[in-house]
Amino acid sequence: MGAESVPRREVVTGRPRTDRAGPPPARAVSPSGGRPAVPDDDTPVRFLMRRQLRAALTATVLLALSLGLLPVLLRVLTAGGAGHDVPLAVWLLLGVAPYPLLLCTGAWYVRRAERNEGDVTGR
Amino acid sequence: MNQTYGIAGVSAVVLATVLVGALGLRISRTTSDFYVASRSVPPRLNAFAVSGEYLSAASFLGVAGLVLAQGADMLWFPIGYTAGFLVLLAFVAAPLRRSGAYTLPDFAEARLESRAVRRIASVLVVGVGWLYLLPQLRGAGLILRLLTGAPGWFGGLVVAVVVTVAVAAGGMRSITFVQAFQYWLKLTALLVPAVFLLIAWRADRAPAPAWDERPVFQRSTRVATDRPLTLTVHAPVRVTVTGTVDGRPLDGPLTLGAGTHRVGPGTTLGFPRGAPVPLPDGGGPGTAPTGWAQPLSAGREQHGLYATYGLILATFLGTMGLPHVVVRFYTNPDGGAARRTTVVVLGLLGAFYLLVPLYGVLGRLYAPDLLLTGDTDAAVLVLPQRLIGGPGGDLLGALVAGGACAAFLSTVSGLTMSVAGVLAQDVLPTLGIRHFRLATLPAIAVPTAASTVVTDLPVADAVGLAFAVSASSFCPLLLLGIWWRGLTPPGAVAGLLLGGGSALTAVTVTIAGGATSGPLHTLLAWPAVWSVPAGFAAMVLISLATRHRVPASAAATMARLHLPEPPRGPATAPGAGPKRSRERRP
Repeated sequence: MGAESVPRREVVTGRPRTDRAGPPPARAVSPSGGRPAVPDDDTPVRFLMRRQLRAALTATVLLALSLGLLPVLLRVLTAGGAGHDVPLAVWLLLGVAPYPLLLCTGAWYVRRAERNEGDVTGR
Repeated sequence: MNQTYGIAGVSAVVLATVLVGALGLRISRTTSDFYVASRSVPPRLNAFAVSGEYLSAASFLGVAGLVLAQGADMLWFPIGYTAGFLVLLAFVAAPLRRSGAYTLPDFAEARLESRAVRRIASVLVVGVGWLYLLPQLRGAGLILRLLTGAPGWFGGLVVAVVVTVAVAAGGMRSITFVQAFQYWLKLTALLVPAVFLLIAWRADRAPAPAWDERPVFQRSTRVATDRPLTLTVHAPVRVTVTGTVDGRPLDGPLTLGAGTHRVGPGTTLGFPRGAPVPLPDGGGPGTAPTGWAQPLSAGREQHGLYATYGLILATFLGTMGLPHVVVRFYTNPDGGAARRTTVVVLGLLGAFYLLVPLYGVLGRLYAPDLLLTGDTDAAVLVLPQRLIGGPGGDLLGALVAGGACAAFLSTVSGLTMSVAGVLAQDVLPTLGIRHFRLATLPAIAVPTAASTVVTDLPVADAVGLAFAVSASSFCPLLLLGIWWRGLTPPGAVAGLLLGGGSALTAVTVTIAGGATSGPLHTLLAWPAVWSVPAGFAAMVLISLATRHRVPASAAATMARLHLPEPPRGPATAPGAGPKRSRERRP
């Protein structure tokens, strides 16, 4: 990794400080990127945001209901049992079960979010 | 553990890292503009890199040590570390990528057009980064102490120097390849020994561990201590001693009566098979640091449920604000790819964390003496030698040591990069962005110094505390900034200051040892339960009160964050991205 092999480098940690005083540049709304400029009609954005938020909240509620209630549930179930003696089922419930659940929820959310975007942009 | 093999393992990992880095550099040299080109990193490769960077010493060593010490409750740590990515996926991943922000301060300024918000966010990023670096450096100290017998602060210093040199030399430009490689290295370093350990465990008639009673030595075990210990023995036990016990130099058999015993530094105790493990006295100044477990063990007895929910809130909501994670999302080509990256990350982290509890359980069986010395974090490292032994055990031990080394290197270098980026840009204005390399020095020197100063204090679960600070400041900023048009700069400032500030204060008090027990300690050690709602409430209420300050560009920003990018051909991808960056001569 000598100096001669060093390619041209760009710093992308942010804008240079020199233009701080000026108005903030339109960052990703760059013509070269072909991004949509300020839309005259805000309705599609609001529509998309509502649907995306609903999908995100569905995933979160699922997470809260499954994993979020688990500590209370375990506490209630083991309250009658003997101290810290943890049955194998609890080990599997905490050590194995959450990961497939998280992966499936994530995969479902991505499909849903991409469909929502497709509906709005017509692609 | 065998020192030669361990050192060989660590050296091999460092060498392989440099090699893969050089390879990545060769590939990246074909494009003139490395960073912009890396916006076309495919989702799967990027997911390897995110996972490689994210799986830190706390995951690789700490979780197994916690399970060893405290049992199944500690599995909430890996669950939280993984579930945080699901919350990030659902609310943040795609919009954050579309915002074009490289750091959280960048995002804050782009969304709110306020320098004040940016400055506060910068301070918080540096705080979270330093908190996260502390336990990594301590873990490095632990490994090097076990491998070479060097003092604990030395290992942290070595890692700090290696990372500083690597970052400053520019070797981290190939960071994507290095980190992707390190994910697979870490997974292999746990998976391969786990297979052999399970075989050895079955051959040992598969004993079941127990957490409800005092652990016993499954085999006759020799325990060497390098610092003074105070032990509580409940029933008389016959041991062999080389060293000093209760102030008397001894060399030979001895019966330890019930009661407390002081063991001098440099003493070796030999326990017979089936003897209960004497535990160190809690709380006294002579006790060993118990690593990740300490603040929990104090609070968990009376406030278990509160602590569990504090942990869940902090990790579920805090992941999205970790500076080194956010940076990696910028390298995705677009928002959709950022989402797909995150799903793959969920799978990769799950695969890794499936293995970790195994080490904790086997550690409870075969390395209970770690409870005695307080080095429970070393469970993963010592198990191959304990269970398998011989050259095979040495080789597997070297593999595990190498994996642990990869865990520090990837996380520490990623964090140093992101903290240095913020320091160079926002905190050290006189240096300017050309002096990015200089900023790496304070970025890592401060946590290194802190880790040498506070070695005997319960700093090791600073990872959990870093998550708590992130969850109470950046989580409200990101969620409200992305999903609510009504967020105003004063509201964001209030939320960041109240949520992040109160969590940071609680964390500082905890680390400084302000409250050592009781409900106050529990409240401060797990601040997320109250500081996250405080941050959200302050942000929403002040924003509503200052409605006239809503940025004029809010609608345009929302469109940018949420509308998908127009399709780009892969051939035009590297050049088509917005050129926000500025060239710098190396």
